[in-house]
Amino acid sequence: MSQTTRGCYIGMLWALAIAAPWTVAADTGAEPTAQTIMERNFDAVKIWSLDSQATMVLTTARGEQRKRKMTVIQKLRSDGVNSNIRIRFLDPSDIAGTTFLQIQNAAKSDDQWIYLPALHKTRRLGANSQRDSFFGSDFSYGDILLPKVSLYSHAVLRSEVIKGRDCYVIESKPLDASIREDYGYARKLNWIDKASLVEAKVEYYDVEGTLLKTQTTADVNLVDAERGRWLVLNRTMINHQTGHTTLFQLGEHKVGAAVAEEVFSSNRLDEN
Amino acid sequence: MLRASCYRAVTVILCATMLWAECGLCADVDEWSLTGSGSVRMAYWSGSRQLDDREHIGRAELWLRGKVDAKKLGSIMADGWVAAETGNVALPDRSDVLRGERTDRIRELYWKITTDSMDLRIGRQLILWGRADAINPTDSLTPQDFTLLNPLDSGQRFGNFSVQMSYLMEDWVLRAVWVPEFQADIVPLLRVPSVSYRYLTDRRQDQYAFKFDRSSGAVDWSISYFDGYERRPDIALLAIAPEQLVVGVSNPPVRVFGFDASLGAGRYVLRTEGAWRKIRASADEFARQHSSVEWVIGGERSFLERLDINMQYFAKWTADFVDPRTVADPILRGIALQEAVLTDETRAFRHGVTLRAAYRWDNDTWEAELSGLAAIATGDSILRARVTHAPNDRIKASLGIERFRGPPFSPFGFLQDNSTVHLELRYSF
Repeated sequence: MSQTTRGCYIGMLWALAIAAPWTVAADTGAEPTAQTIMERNFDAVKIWSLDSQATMVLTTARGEQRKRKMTVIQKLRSDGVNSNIRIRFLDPSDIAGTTFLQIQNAAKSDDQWIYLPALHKTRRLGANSQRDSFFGSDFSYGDILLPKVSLYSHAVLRSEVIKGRDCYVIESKPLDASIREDYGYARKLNWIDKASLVEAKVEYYDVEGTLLKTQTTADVNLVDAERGRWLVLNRTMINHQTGHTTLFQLGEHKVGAAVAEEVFSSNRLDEN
Repeated sequence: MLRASCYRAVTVILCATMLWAECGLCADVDEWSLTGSGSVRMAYWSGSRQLDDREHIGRAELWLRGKVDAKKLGSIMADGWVAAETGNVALPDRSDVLRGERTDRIRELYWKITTDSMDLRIGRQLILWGRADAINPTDSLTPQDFTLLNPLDSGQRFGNFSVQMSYLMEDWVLRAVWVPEFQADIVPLLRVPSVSYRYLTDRRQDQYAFKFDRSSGAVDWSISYFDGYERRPDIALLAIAPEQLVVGVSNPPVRVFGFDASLGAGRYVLRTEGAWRKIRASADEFARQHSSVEWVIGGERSFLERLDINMQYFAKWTADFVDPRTVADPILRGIALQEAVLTDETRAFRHGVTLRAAYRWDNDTWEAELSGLAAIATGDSILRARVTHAPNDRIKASLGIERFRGPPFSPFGFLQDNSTVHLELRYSF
């Protein structure tokens, strides 16, 4: 072996010796980027299947309450991104039997139907504006069916502990004016729990930049340790501009059970 | 006739038995549940819907809905109401469906059972077809009481005894319906002292309907066939007696070939529906409806987060149309004119537009809806406006106006005296 070649090998060994600890550090100690955190947050609640009872409590600023009981059945499709969701209202009596079905399509508009017991008919719905209220609650469709992470730019502002949960605080801003108008938010502040990567709190700022709503989560359970998937049992949304509050609470639930495809057929929504 | 009805009864029992067997003969009869709901409604109406001069009507109703769920044995659904109305004249003959002054009705009472691929329903039930908004040319199976004081068209519907079998696959369904009972629409008829109406169509009639329905991706569509009787009655002079005219009310046999479709296109939904109605009886020029083709097309979109707008165009072509105003005899002309407005045959070609706008606010505790239909050329129209407030889950109050306008010889101009204002308070439980 020539002196030059030996020198190269020694140099390479020194480079590896110096670089190795840093490489290990990058795998185990370096902070992920804001984009990565938000992508993992997007995936953290993508559960394979869920069959649950839920209650939505709507409370006005004056303290008057309305309560909606419903069943929520949801199944992630094989692409791991799009879900089929069926919501059937059980109470109160004037909306009991109303059933909403959504077949999500990331590449195009979602397909949606609603069965209205008073009309004895199933009607196809147009794709919702993401700003539309979800059945009169303070959650919009865009709040419930999370937008693609790539529609926003994200930046980590700081770390902060809220209610015992150590969180990344990430600011998300829409990439262009059309996204801001579609979703109705100039920016969002997300408190992402470092342990679960599920949002602990989200502040929503309207198109003028004024604080509009705050969402907080509680009772977050790990339901799929292998894939790192979590289920949020309580979500509360406060609208600061109207004083109205919505509590969305999951009750009895089954995660990961087989769900028949015909549950998500628009021809079966009238099966009470 | 008796043998045919026996065959039908045996067929129904066999179908039910096969389904029962599929579900398991050893069903656990202990697993059953009873659920129910209802509402008490108090309403004020400024007038009736019967072309009479009644005013300031108070109405109290109790609506009940129940379900007995026996799991593998199926379930029983029931829905009905009882009512009391001020100024209501008790009728000696309660089977006189023309007058529509009913104090109670069982709208639905049927047993149903559903398996992975089949759904069977036997009993009195509402079967409503058609994807268009409000105007549904393919809707032949379920009658409507147009004289009933109810804020919504859907509240005027009542069921027929039917056997409905549906075969369900992943994205299509085939339905077959046998309706051995016929009930006509209850329509407002002119009340003239010297005229009496006699209802002629036998309630025991066999009607059949079939529908193939497919829903795949962005498009839902169906084709349908109905063989039965027209819900909307014909009127014709039966007899002339001293100081008395007897007008017969009957329903002609009809075959209806229909289609409908809805297409999702982003924020828009486009809907269309059409039907060829072939009247099977020989068409008396003026005393019988004529075959026709009807078509509706339109779209719907939401705006501003809370506003929904729906607009449609409708058209109807009537075959062998002859203008009833050309009838020389004044008595026959009067009856022919009423027949024409009742059956929407005032012109060979009638078309127009519909509009519906609904706005919700304050977390859906308030809703305002404006809807209307206007015919082009004749200019007759119906306009409805309604505001509803539901401060909590139990109480709902609504205020509504319904206005009919147009020349007397037009379907909506004929109904001008039925224009009303109403106020309803509802308590749900």
